[in-house]
Amino acid sequence: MASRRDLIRASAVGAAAAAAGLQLPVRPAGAAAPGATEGVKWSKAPCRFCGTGCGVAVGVKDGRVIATEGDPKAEVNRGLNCVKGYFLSKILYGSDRLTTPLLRKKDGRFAKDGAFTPVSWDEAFDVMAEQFKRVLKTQGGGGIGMAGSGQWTVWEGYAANKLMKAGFRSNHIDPNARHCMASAVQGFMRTFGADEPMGCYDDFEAADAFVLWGSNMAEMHPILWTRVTDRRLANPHVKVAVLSTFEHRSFDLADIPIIFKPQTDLVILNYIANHIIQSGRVNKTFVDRHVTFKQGNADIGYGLRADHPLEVKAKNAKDAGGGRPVTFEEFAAFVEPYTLDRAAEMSGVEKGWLKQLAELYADPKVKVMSLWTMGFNQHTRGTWANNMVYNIHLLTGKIATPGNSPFSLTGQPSACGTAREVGTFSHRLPADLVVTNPEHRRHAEEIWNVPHGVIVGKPGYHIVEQNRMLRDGKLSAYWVMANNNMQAAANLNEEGYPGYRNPTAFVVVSDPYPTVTAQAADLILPTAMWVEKEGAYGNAERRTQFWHQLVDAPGEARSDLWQLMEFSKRFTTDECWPAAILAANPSYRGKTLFQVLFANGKVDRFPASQVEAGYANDEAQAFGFYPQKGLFEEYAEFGRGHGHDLAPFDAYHQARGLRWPVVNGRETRWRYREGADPYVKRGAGFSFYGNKDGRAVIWALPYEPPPESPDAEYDLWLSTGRVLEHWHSGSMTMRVPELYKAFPSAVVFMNPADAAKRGLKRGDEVRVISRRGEMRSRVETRGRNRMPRGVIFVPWFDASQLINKTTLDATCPISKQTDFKKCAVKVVMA
Amino acid sequence: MNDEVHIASLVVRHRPDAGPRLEAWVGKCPALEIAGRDGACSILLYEGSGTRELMELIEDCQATPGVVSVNLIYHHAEPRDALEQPASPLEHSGASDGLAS
Repeated sequence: MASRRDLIRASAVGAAAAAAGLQLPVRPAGAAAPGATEGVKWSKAPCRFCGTGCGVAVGVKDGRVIATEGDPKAEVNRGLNCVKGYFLSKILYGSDRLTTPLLRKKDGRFAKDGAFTPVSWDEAFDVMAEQFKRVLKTQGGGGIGMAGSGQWTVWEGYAANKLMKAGFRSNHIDPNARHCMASAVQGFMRTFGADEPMGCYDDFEAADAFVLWGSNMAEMHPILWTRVTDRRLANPHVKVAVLSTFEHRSFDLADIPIIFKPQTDLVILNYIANHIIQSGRVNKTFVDRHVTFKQGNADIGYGLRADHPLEVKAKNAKDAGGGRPVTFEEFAAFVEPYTLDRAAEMSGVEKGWLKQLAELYADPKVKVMSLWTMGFNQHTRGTWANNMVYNIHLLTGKIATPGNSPFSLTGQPSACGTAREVGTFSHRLPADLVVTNPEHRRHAEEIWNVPHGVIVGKPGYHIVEQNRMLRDGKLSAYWVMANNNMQAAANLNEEGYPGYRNPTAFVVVSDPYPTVTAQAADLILPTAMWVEKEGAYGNAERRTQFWHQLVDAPGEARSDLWQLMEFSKRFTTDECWPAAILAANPSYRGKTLFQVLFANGKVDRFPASQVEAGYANDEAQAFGFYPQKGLFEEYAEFGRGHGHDLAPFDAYHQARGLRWPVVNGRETRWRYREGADPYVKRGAGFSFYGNKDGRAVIWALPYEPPPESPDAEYDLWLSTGRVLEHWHSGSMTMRVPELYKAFPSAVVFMNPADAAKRGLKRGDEVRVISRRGEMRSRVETRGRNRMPRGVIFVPWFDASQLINKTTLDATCPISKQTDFKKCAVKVVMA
Repeated sequence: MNDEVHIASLVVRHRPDAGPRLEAWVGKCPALEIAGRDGACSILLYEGSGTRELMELIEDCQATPGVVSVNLIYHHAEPRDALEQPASPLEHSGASDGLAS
């Protein structure tokens, strides 16, 4: 008779075979993990980490998540999990999980220089409301700010957006997705007039070539990388081009490996456009029918403080996004100087590789998928880089058909679903609406059931600006949710830390763990995370995914949604809105923000009894109605009939996600193409309907140098980023023993010759020094990243090694997204 | 000390010509065996002392020339003596079967 060991081994092999799609020994029925699965309730959820949106099966036993497995029924990952996803359950159970509010107190009272002291929720909110009201009286709503997240659930972001933009009348709400996706957003808006990719993950199985622009998918999007790998290894004609400023794991699959000098991706992109034109491979029919041309303003500065010499010197710093219409011939003349010789000289890449790369795009028979994330987006010309990759897809008509797909990958689980679609950016409203457009504001006010004039028409402070304004005393009440910006934002020493610790500022941080950011706050609120609440995320391919609350949060931890709604009860319209608006709308007088924003007859219209049987919902219990459903259905009003259609709420609890627009119950895989997108009229072929003329824009944009380059003193490029085992600042993954042990500390990846030149060897402790600060780390000359001379790479997950003390807070002036990939440093023996 | 045995499976994507190299590497790892292969995809079965060793093997496997990706699919741990007990039929076989839809 077989032992349990035999059956578990067979089960392990069977599960792997199923995930890999191999015909191997079949998983014996009833043989998986004896003992481990008895009494376990399995439910679906999207992964908590990156923007891929993998489906996981979550096993709960005795009120605790005991296991997570790749969900074989999830289209995204088909049963696979990356190593982070496999250990997902453990992120809930770190030993230092916050379970009670903590307020800085001295002599029994709040004090900015006090010590963190446990307090009740009542006391926490009393003090917080007192501080927010002080700021409302002295500075108005414009003194209140909020840093949110692409990790908020859809309804949390939506509730926060309402509370800030309609309740406090402050547009100073911005997500950490600003650091992640803002350049992608602006790229989409400038080219297509509508955000988010036209294609989807189905493109992986249809493409003939993959081009990774700065992306290290092998480590950062490992599940999607397996789809690239499967396609490449099973189809010999398929080619993979990998472009980066250093060699990393994705190069293992590269047919066309390209290491370029930092910033010269702009040159390569224009060279490819020029090559397409010069070799006569422009798809003229497509271009004539579906494209217009513009030349963008040049010399646009670097998003630094306005008095920085580089900003003063920049001719178009105040109109960075401007431009003028041009003809195809003018565009062709614009890119003509970007020859193969010039591209090779500036980028340092051999001509043969550049030409092979350009041919992937130029050859009409090759279906190309371009993929990028932070290499393009975290770039002082990030919006341009996004526009320029669309240029080469549009010139050739390689877009919106299976396998022809310029695809912006995302870094956070709901960067698309929450930050972008809900519009939690400081200039946006839901469904691509913007605060600067009076018609958009009016439409939002009508859906939100608030008086006209409540929403302010000027964009608020973006997240980089928020740190500066905290330091300058212009933001004085500040709420941070679901992000770790003290570890993430550049230039910690000069902007972030002085801002949070400014005596005039009251800073609240909601987080499950005592992060670097939480420790810099005045009040810490303990937060429920992931399956401790009902949630919704939207992934990179427009897929909206729901999950139920599966376990209780520990101690007194509460979800961000509960915190936002409960806190809103402590304010009345009279305290937040101007007298003129209330005089014109007297029925709103004396009402609390909770009554106006959440108990408004729409958000509270679904009873708590509609929560699916067998699942808890702490917020429904607390408020007496089903707030997630009410918020979602109100939010969905923005997009339905406008190209952002979402399905009814309940459908998402059944499906493994649906890709919007969902029209008549059908999701959309490819937007903008007739037959695939219900918004494209018959006979149009394609329609880029985000723009009024239905045409996409090809932008003529030049190469411009970065704000800071290595010189005699600071003689190395610093690039920062991630490693496979850790997600972003490591606040969750560093608490998983297996992941912590696998990569416990950040290191300085360095070329051996660069190390030797400085008298350094592998393992030596060093100081990494920039003009703004320094940090200590150890040299790594081997391992997964192989650095060229003159470039170092330091991951930023390690809270004990804050590389953001050295990074420069220069941004793309259009998207306001920081360039974390390029600044000048020196490395010396510690 | 708890005498636990960990059993896990990995899916390894590699260049087809890297198969022999992967086989040679696995041959040097007592806790690993190749449970199946189809061209550019191999399934490795792990039975060993714990997650630390497993994570180190994943890292080493990833570093093997020609290996493109390594994914951990299944992981189970229980005391050694329990594993040697005869298996009994089970009512339920895991996540995918337990999910409602």
